[in-house]
This record gives sequence, C-alpha cells and structure tokens, in this order.
Amino acid sequence: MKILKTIGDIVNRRNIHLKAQQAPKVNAMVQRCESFRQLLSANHAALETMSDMGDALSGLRPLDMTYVRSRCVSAVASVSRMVQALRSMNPGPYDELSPRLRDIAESIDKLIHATPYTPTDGPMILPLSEVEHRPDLAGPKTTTLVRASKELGLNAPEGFVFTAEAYRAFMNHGLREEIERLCMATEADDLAGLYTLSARITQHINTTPLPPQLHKQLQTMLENRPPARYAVRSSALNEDAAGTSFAGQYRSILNISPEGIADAYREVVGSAFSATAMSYRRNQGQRDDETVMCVACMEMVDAEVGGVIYTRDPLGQDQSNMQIHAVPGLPASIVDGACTPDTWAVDTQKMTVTHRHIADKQSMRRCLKSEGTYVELIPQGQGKIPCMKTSKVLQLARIGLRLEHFFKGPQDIEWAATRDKIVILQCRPLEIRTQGCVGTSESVTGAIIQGGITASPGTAAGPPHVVKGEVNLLDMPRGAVLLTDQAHPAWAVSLDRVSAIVAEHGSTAGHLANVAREFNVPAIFGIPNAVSKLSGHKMVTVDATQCAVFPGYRMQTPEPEKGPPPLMAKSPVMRCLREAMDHIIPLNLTNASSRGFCPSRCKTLHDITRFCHEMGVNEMVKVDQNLSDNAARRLVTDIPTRYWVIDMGNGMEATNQKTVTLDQIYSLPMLALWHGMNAKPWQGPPPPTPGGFLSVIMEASANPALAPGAYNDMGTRNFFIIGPRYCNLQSRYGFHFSTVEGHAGPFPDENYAYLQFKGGGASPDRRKMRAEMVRGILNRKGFLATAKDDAVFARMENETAQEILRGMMILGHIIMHTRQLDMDMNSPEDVKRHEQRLLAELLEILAPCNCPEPWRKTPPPTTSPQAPDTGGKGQSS
Amino acid sequence: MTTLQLLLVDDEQDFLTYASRRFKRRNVETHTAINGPEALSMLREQHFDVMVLDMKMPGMDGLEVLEQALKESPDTRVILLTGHASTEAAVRGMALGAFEYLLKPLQFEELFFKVVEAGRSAQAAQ
Repeated sequence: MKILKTIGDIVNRRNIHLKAQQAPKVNAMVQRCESFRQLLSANHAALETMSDMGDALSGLRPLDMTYVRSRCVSAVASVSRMVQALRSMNPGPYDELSPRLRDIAESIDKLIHATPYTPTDGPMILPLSEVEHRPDLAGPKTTTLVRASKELGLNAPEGFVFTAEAYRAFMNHGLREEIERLCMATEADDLAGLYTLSARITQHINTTPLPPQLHKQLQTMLENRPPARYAVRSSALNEDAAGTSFAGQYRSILNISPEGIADAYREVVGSAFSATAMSYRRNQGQRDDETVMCVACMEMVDAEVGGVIYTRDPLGQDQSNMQIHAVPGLPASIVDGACTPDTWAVDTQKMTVTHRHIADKQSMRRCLKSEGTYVELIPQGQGKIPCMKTSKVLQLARIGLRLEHFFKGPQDIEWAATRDKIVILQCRPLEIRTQGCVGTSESVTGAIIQGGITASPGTAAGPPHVVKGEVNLLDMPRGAVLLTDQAHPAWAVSLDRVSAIVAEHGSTAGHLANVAREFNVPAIFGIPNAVSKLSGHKMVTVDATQCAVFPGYRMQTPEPEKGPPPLMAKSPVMRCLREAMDHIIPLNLTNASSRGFCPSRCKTLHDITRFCHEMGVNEMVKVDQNLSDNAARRLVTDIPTRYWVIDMGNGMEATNQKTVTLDQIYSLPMLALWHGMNAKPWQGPPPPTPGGFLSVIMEASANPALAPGAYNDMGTRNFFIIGPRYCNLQSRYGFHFSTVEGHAGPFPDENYAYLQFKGGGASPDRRKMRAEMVRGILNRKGFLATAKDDAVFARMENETAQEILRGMMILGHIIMHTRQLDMDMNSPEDVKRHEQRLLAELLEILAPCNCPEPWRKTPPPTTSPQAPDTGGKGQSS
Repeated sequence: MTTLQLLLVDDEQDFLTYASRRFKRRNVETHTAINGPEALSMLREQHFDVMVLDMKMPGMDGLEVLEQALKESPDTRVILLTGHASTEAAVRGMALGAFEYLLKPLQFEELFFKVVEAGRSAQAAQ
C-alpha cells in the first residue's frame, strides 16, 4: 500500500497546490509524469523478461512451450504498455507504433501455437494391413511391426489403427485450446503441480466425445471385423525416434472389448499428457502441441509366456550375445518392471545359450475372460522353473537376428508366445550405451549390498528415499537415491531429480531402465532386500557399474556436472524459443539521432522498447516549454550539472527559474542519493589493462549500440523525478544504466529503496563479475540483491526513513563509483580489491561524523494540514 | 481516498474466493463478480480503482467487458488475466485500454503488486 499512500499524499497535496497555481498545465504535467513512470515500469518489466529468455536460451534448464508462450506474451504485454504510456504522453506522433507492434505479435503468435488443423478428409481409421508405408498416418512403431510381419513372414497381430488424422480431428474438437489453457493456468513447476495438471487434462480428454465422423468410421471398422479382444497401444508420431524413445511413457491397454475401444482410445491419447510423459517431453524439449498420438488396436494375444528380446547388450558390454527376457503370462509384467524375468544370453554365431539366469518369479499377468487383465500369484516353489525351453529360446534368437538384419541395427522386440506360435508385438531400434564402462561383478569390499544387474551404468551418491507410490515422489529431495520395490515406469517422472535408482525387481529390458540410460542416471535392478537394507542409511553411494551400494559418500572423482539433456539445444522447444526471440531481441534502432530512429524501422520488441524509452525521455524534457513553473529544471551546484529535476509536487521550491539549486530541494531521498553520489570524488576510470581494454574494443565493435554517438550516449541528460519523500533517478553513464528509486516516510511499511543496474562496456564475463560484486556489497549493506548476467536488482524494504536514506546514500555511491569498473575485472583478485575499497568508502560515508545535516532540510510550511511534508527524519530534526 | 477499491471478475468461484480473501487481508476493498454483465452493473453503481478481469468467460468475453467498462468508468484501470497465451490478444487488449495483461498461473504477490500499481495510476488520474 505504500506506493498508493505516497501517491495519495502527493495527489492531495497537489490538488491543494493546484488551486493556487495554474491548474490545467500542472495537471497535464503530473499526468505526463505518471505516464512516464508507467513507461519506465513497463520498460523494466520488458527488459527483465527478455533477459530471462536470453538465459533460457543457454539451454541450462529444461523448458516447455508453456514457458516460451508465457514469456512471449509477457514481453508483448509489457511493450504494449510502453506504447500506450508513450501515446498518452503525446498521442499523435507515435500512432505508427501500434501496427508495428501488432505485426510483431502476429509473427510470434504463429510460432508459439501449433498451426490450426484443417481437415483433409483423410482416413481416420485404417486396417493394419494398409499402413505398411504410412508412418505419417499410423506412427512408426506400428508401421515397423506391419513391415516386419509382411516382409519377413513373421506373426504379428491383426487389427486397425486410429490415424494421425483421427487424433487431429479429436483435438480439434475443442481439446487443443483447452489443454493449452490448462497448461498455462496450472502451476506445474514441481511434481505435485504436474500431477494436478496431468489429472485435469486427462479428465478432460476422457470426457470428450469422439467427433461424429470418427465415431462412424470406428463403428464401420468394428462391424466388419470378427469379434475379438484388443490390445490398444500408443503409436505416436515422434515415439521411438532415435534418442528420444518414449519407452513406457505412453499407455498400452490390454484385452479390451470392441465396446471399450473408444474409452481405451481416449485413455491412450490421455497418456500423452501423463505426468511422466509431460516431464519427459519437458526434459527433452519436445512440444506438447506437436505430439500426435496414433493408436493401434491389435488383436490380443493370450500369451502363455512373453517377453523382450534385445538383439545386443544395451550396455554395449557383451557384443556377441543376444539377450532374451521372458516371464510366464503376458509380457506386460516385464516392461512395467513388476517381475524379474528369466534371462538367456545367446551366442548368435553358434546359436547356443551361453548363460541363463532363472529368477524366482512370484506373479504373472493374465487376460480376464470378460475384459482387462489380472495378476495371478505363482504357487511357491514353481517360480523357479524356467518359463520356457531352450528350443523356444533359440527360435526367438533366430527371429531376433532376422529383424536385426532386416532393420539394419540392434532391435528391442516385444513378443508373446501361445502354445503354437510366437507373435511379435512391437519392434523398435535399440539404443546401445557405450559410455560408462561396466566392470566385472567381482566382489567388492565395504558394500552394504551387492547384486542385481546394471540397468544403467555409472556411480552416484545421495540420501536413499523409499518410493512405494507416486505420493512418495512428492517429498523426495533433489539428488536422492530412489529406492523401490518395483522398477515402475511411472518413476521416470523423477529422473531429472534423482541421482540413482535401486530397485528390488525389474530388468534392463524394462521401460524405466531404458529411460534411466537415456538420462544418464545410474540404476541397479533386481537386487533383493535393497529397501530394508538401505533405507536406514543417511547417505549411500550407488555404483551401478559394479552392482554395489556403499555406505556414505564414496565418489572417487567429483561428480561430473550434469549438463542439460543433450537434445535440449536442438529440441523443438528450443528452436521455437530461438525463432520467437528473433522477433524480440535483436536491436536495429541504435542511433537515436539518426533518421532511421522512427516507428517504421522497429522490427523487434527490443526496437520498440528503445524507441519508447528515448521518446518518453524527450517528452519529459519538452514539458518545461509548456509550463511557466518549469517542470524539468536543471540542477546547478557550483556548476550546471547533467541532471534535471522533475517535481511531482512539493519536492522542491516552486520558482519560475529554469534551474534549481540543492537548497531548493525538499526531497529527502533525493538529497540522500545526491550526497551518496558526491561524497567521494570519482577518481575516473581505472587505468586500462590490456585484457580489459581489449575487451571494451571487442564489445564496441560487436555491438553497434556502443559505438560513439549511438543511443545512450554520454551526453544524455539524467532525470530526478521527486516528491518530498520520493525520488526516482534514471541515469546513464556511458554504457552503464541505472535506476534508483526510494521512498522514505514515517511508516516503515511504506518505505523502500530500489536499484536496477545494468550494462558496461567490457566483455560479458567482466560485466558479470562487476554485477556479482555489486550484489555482494549490497547484500552486506542490508539490501536484498540478485545479479543476473550484467544486471543487478536490489531492494530494501520495511525500514525506517533513516535506514532508507542511508540506503539511498549507499546506492548513490555505488552507481557513481562502480562505473567502468567492469574494465578492471580481470581476475577474482581485482574483484576483491575493488570490493574492499568500496566497502571501506561506504563505511566512511556512513560514519556519523561524515553524515551531517546539510541535506536534512525542514520542508516549507505546508498549505494544508492534511499534507505534512516532513519525512520521518525531517521531523526528528 | 487511499483505500483501493478493487473488483475481481472471473467465472471461477474458487479464484474469486481465494483472491478476495487475500486482497482483503491487505486492506484492499474487494468486490467480486462472476460474469461480465454483473461486473458492468457493479461499475455503474460504484467507483472502482482497479478491475481484474478474466479474458475467457462464458457469455460475454473479457475484451467486450473491457470495452464497455472503460466507457462506463474511464478512470478504472483494468488488468486482464488469462490462461490463454496469445500475443495478439495481448496487443488487442492493451490497445483497447487495458492497464496490464497477465497470464495465469500468477503468484498472488505479483498480482497484488500489479493491482497496487494500477491503483496508483487510477488515483493519480482522478
């Protein structure tokens, strides 16, 4: 409320003041001041948004489209505000800005929203037999399977597919916009938020009816097919693309009756918006709105045994062997990590089993007679029987070889076997991870437990955190070791925040293992009793390569910095951000005195920002020609200064002069600021050092804005905008821009001092060092300060007027005496040296003996009892 | 004339309840309306410094309400709040005279700050 109160006060006082003076002109002036202030505030907001986008572009944090959209819109809104503010200062000359802004906004809109879909009358439902060469309609996962079965004569299920066309028609049914709206409106920075968002979206999808056309085509398809149960599987257009296998992120729904297909379809489509899938896309920089979910409905195979073939070792260790994993019943219990499978290693040259591991299998998944599946417990003792014979293992190995040969690379194959045949359910490229050597399983000393298999190699340490359900993910600390019973695919949602995974069940063939490898998260699966043995420890080190877990922190080499997911830089979201920023960041208007400095040359939001700022200042300067009591008066000390003062009411003695002297100023914050700025004479720029000087030259040649005579030239006037308790100073010294604002009144909760500081002429790293140093100093002096690139934002709030005035002095000293220091930021020692000097100077300035009264003036007698003009400090003197 | 008069307009009752509670706690005189027509009739009866207006409401949409509201009460500052990120809509809203265009989700602090800023501008204009 402090700002309101201030303004209220100012307005009151002004109103009274006005009666005595020439009301309309002053009124117009104050309006102009207010507009100018709006302009500055919007300018600040716009630049902050742009700087944040620049940060994001470095790719050091995961991004999603929601981020890109919200930043773009914030930038446009702020720049719109600037335009409105400028136009309210002087409407005519700036009209041309609006259409420019509209054009830019339109270009950005096109980039950040998926192209609206226009129906093409293409088929929405197609039999599987017709999609062999149409990955664009059926998704690559489905077409691969159809090709394998046709060309190699392998068994694959019959069925049909909901095409990409079906998905687009479904989304066009109002869903697309609603999903985007939900994404924008739900805060999903953390897991809890993500789950909420996901629940809202999927609920919406589940209750949206199929478009009539789609419904009709589905009915026709079902009527022309023999009665069957179906496995309804995802087959997204971007699924299985190399490097971004969406393994297990999307749903497959098993054993569905024809009547249940529509619901199952919606559910699979909804799985594109599961928390796991969304966080996966976010970590990979994939766009939600470019995900196209095709859905295959394949006749259900009631498997006696099923599993996964890896035609090579996914960890790249055992080059000659093929891996075959199998469980009794449906293969689903492998991929969802519920069951530790039997595994065989097959030497494909000799076609012999070189190694086998028979697990103690406790349960299996079976088809229900009606619809759906259930888990059947395996009677004790029977779990250790191998779930298939060697002959079948070799038969599978031969299929694996043929597929690998046909698709010219290692494959990950899901299969199911009934009594008389083997059916291929899925076939996709297998990614081999060569990075991170897997050691031998020789015993190690000092381990808490050892065993299981390397699902993803590497070593990492962290506090163990037991996860039994999704709810346990919510309070999991960043960097924890995820400790779980089953290697469930849903845990993948947390991969960007765990350091390692240890699971009692699961295999390298599971989805979680796949994704863990993709994210470089070490993981050991199939290690018995891990939960009970590890959960008591405060910190454990997981050496997945050696399949051992040690107590405490035992990293031999420092943990490598986890960079951004490798795909982020080239990801679609990044690309979109970059393209959008082409309309936002580049600066074409550099030279304010050139003819080209006009609205029609504004090509980017940054151009408009610059233009508005420059023109806003001009409008303020022009003011004094319209008013008899000069609004902007030049500050004169011993000599005329480069500062002009604009009074918003009772900030200085009203006279008809064009200049003002310090003793005519009543604004305490301004006087404090001025005192800080001038308490110490500026010693001039630091002597140039080769590196620093060179960096200035480099910068200047790279950035036309810094060329002499360009925008923000040294000669620019600086403006104090003041009230008795308020002061705002926009200043530029060469390439250094700063805004200081403060309010110091009798009520602490209204008081603040604020600094925004940016720029420099030296290289970015030096400017950054300086910003960091200023942040450090201000933090020590009681400000809340942050630094970002070469900018510093600092504020002090809720303090007595006296504290705020001291704060203004500090800021005054800082803005004057850190100018050009960036040139001298060659090493941490330089930073330290300047920091110590500045701190010493500040101590001196703030010392009571040096902090005398001259600027503590008693304001003039007020014309109204309602409007006492004394600040807290003034009253006490 | 320092107590800020605020009108919140949104078709989500949850938002109205939550936000008005928090604004009231900070001494902002807060009223709510669940749709456009209700908001407009309240504007006719009483002066508001600031109106926070949802863009997408059934019946009368935010931009329509904005246009009429500024006709009724030109000194009221209107903050548009929306879940739909369209830069084009932002430009249109601002051109129609909105004070600010904000995206959901929004931290309360941020909304509060904008409302105060808008209030300052409104009271200065009177």
